[in-house]
Amino acid sequence: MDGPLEQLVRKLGSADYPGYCAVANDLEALAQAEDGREYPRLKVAVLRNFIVEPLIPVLKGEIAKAGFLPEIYTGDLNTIAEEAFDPGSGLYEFSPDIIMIFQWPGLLAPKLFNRFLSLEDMDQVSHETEQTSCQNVELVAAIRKRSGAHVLINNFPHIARPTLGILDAQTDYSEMQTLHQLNHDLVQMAREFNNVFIVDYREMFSRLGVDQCYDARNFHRSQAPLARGVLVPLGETYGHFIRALKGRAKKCLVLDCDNTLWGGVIGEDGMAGIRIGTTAPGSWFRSFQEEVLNLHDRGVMIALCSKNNEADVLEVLREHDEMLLRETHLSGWQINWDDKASNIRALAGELNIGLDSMVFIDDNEFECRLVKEHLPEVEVMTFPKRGFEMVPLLRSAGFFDSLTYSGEDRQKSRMYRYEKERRQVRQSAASIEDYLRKLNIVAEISEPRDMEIPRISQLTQKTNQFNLTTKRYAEGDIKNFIDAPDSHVLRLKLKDDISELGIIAVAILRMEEQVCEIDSFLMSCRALGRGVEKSLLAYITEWARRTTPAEKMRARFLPTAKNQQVANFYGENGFEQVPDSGTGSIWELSLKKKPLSYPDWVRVNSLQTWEDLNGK
Amino acid sequence: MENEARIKSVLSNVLGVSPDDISEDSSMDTLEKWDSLKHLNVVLALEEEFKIFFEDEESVIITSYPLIREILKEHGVKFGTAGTRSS
Repeated sequence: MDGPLEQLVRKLGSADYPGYCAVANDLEALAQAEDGREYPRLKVAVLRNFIVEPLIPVLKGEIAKAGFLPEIYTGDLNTIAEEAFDPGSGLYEFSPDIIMIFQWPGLLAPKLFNRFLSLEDMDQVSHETEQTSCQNVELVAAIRKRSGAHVLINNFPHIARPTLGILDAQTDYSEMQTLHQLNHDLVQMAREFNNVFIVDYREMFSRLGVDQCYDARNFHRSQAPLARGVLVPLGETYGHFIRALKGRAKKCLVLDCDNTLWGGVIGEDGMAGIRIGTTAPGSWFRSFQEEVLNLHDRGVMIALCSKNNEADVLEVLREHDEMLLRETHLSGWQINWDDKASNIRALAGELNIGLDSMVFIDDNEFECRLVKEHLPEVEVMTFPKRGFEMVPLLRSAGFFDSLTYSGEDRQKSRMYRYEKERRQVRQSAASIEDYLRKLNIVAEISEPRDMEIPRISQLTQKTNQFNLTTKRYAEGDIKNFIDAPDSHVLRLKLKDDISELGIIAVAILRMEEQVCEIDSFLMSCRALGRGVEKSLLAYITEWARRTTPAEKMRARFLPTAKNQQVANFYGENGFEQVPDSGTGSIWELSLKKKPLSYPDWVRVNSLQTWEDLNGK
Repeated sequence: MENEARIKSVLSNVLGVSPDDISEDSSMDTLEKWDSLKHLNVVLALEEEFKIFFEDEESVIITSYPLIREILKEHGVKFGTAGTRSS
C-alpha cells in the first residue's frame, strides 16, 4: 500500500519550503526510476508573465499529494500569448492536463497598477480595464479552441497603499474599485468557458497580508514577486484545485467526541460538566460544530468515533441544549471501547467509502498516531489545545473543496443515514431479492434536464468504485455530450420506500456508425447492492436497439486503484470480451440477440418515450 | 543540526544533489544544477531555514558555499570555528 510516492507525500505533512524542494527533487528521480512507472502522471503547463520558478517545487509536491507524478512544462517568460495563439506551440505539443496561467497585475496592466493617475478620468480607467479583461477572454478563448485542459488563472490580489491614499476609498476613480471590476470580469469569463477556474489571489493575499506575499527585492532583481511566505500556502491552493478536478476530494469527516466536539469528558464530567455553549471555552467547540454543520450541508458525511459508552454520547446528542450537532446529522458512528483504527475501518465499510475519502479529527495525540500508523490513507488532524484554531486549520486544509455545489449535496448526507436503516431491514429479510422487493425500488432513467447537469458532472468527478472508465467531466463537457448529435447522456434517479436517493447513476454513450460505445458508466457507492446497475445497463442496450441504427454495443473497463469490483461487470452481464492490446479490457454485445433482462425488483420509468428519444 | 550542515542540507534539497557533493569549493561555477533560476530558490530556502532576510546585494553575491557562510555570519548565525574546512 505504502509505495515510494506515498512515502514522499508523507514527508510533506508539515514541510516548509526547503522540505518541498527536497521532495520535488526526489519526485523527479522517482519519475525516472523503475518503481515510479506504475504511478499516473499529471501534466501541468505553466504560462507566466513573471518568474514562478520558486513556486514549482511546491506545485510538484501538491501534485504528488493528489496521487500523481508531476510533469511540468514551463513556457518562456512573457510568452503567454505566443504559446496560446500558435497551434504549433510547445504548450499544445505537451498536451497538458492542466494549464496554469500566472499573470502579475503590474506587468499585465502597468497603467492601472503602476501609474493610475496617468488615466485622466473614469472613462479612461474603464477603457483600460475593459482592454485588460478582453485580453484575458481572447487568451482563454484561444486556449479553449485548441486544448481541453483545465485552465487555472489567477485573479487580482488586493492593493496595499493605493496611489490616492486615503482618498481611494471615497471615490469611484479608485484603484480598489478597478480591481473589483477586473475580478468581476474574470468571474464572467470563467462562466463563459468550460473548465476555466479562478485561483483566488485576492483571498490569499488578504489573508496573509500583501506585504507578506510580495517580495519587492526579488521582483526588481529577477521579476519574481512571490515572497517566500506565500509559496507553500499558494501551492497548496493549487493542490486543492488538482484534488477537486481529479476526484480526490474527501467525503467523510470522522470526529472524536470528548475535547473535540465538547470540552471535557462526558463519562467523567457528565451532562452538566462538559463545556459547550456561548462562552469560552465552550464556544470554541460550538463554533467548530457550526463548521461541521456547514460541511454536512455541503454533502460531507459526518461520523463519530469515540471511546465512550454509546448511551452517554447519544444522550448528549439528543438532550444537551447547547449542542448544534444532532443524531440526524450523522451518517454513522462507532462509539465503543475498541481501537479507533478498527472502528474507522468499520465506518468505511458501513458507509461504502474508501479509507482515503476520510478525515479524522481527535484531540488525543496517541489516537491520532495510532490511526496514522494503521490507516495511512486516512487524513488525520489533531484538535488543537487552543480549540478556536480548529476551524481555520480545517478550512486551510481544503480536504472537502470541490468545484461544484448542487442542491443534492444538502440531501446527500441524509441519504447515507437512510442507508443505515435499509441495512437493518436487510438483516431481517429472508433473501436479498426478497428484501429488495420489499423496498419498492423505482428507477427513473431519462436524458438529463439542464438543472441536473451539475449533479451529473459531480458524479463523474467523485465516483471511484463503481466507475468503469473513471473519466472526469466538468459541467461544460456534460452539456457538450447532451448537445452533440452523436453522443447521449442518460441518468438514473432512484427512490424507494425509505427515501429518495436522487440521481445516482450515469451512462454516457457515443455513436460510431453501427456501434454504440459506452464512454462512461458509473454509479454512486451509496446505491450499491440493489442491482439497479443492471437496470441501467439493460435500459441503455434497449435504448440503443430501439432508437439508433447501432448493431452492437461496445464497452470498456479501465482499471484504477479503486474500481476492481467492476472489472468483470460487463462479462457478468452478457457482454463478450474482445481482444485488445491496451490497458483494461474491451467488451461487446450484439444488439441482434436476446435483450438483457431487467431485475424484477426495480421498476423502471422514463420521462421520455422511445418515440421522443428517436427525435434527436 | 550544526549550522554548516543546515546550509548543506538546504543546498542539497534545493539543487537535488547529495550533501556529500557540497564542499568548500561548491559554487554556481562548480555545481551544474545551481543556475540563476535555482539560485532564487536557494535564497528563499536559506531565508526560510535561518529565518533571516538577505539584502538585495547579499542575495546576488551568495553564489558559493563559503560566501553563504560568510554572509550568514553577518546575520548573526554562529559557526564552530571560523573558516573550518569541513569536508
